[in-house]
Amino acid sequence: MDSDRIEREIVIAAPPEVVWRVITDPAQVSMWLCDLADFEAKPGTYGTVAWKEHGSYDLRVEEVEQPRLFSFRWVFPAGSQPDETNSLLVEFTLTEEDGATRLRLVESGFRFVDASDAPGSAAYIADHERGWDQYLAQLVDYVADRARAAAR
Amino acid sequence: MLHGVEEDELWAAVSEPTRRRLLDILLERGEATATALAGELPVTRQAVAKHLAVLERAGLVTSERRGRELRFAVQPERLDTAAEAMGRVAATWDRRLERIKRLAEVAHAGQQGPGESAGGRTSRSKKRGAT
Repeated sequence: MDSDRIEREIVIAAPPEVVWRVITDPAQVSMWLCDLADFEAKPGTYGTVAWKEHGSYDLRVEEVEQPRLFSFRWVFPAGSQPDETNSLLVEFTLTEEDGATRLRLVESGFRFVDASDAPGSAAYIADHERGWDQYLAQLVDYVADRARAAAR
Repeated sequence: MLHGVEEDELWAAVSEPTRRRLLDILLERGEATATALAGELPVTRQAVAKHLAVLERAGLVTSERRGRELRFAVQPERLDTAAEAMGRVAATWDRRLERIKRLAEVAHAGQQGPGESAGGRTSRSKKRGAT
């Protein structure tokens, strides 16, 4: 059991450039991560991600290698600079596979940061996200319908 | 909800690599003495005893005296609690990645279809439209 990190992978039927925009464009990040995202994909810059129900988290952008690597640190003590001993590091790695993208997510630093402080831990987030998922599913259907109609 | 001092202690206990290794060995073996555990790790018996004390304080292992031996075993329920907070975060990432997938695939399909651009255009209209 590794209690320091979470590792996940997903294959997406879209090229890395498209996936890159979804994970680095704040307007799109606010569609899958939080209610409002305010940051720039520039190394060393600070930004915030906020949820209506439970406030905002600061983040610092770490590595930006379009369209292969995007990482940031969050969940660090207010007023301090994040480093490898006081924050969680979120890393997205994108690999092209026959026109699709293998997206790998690693969130690490749980040996230093309590997992129950991480965005995504609390039960109320789960409740919040159920509503959100439903809305998103409708949006996806809507856009897909329009794409189909346009293709006709 | 899992909060407060009790959980801090739990996380401190499982956050140290040697202690995690001890837990792994104990899970494999069922139970063992500090001496037997020290034989499987590159640390002294004293160091093992200290780590076991931390794990025992956090409620992750229990000890039982058998004659002259003190045998340690994992307390599985408590381990589950430690894994639980992490599991919630992991499950949330699964949902986030599913959403990333859907957004990217719809955007990509949109780009390929005539006259449909699905880039960041939906960002404003999405704002809290659900609630």
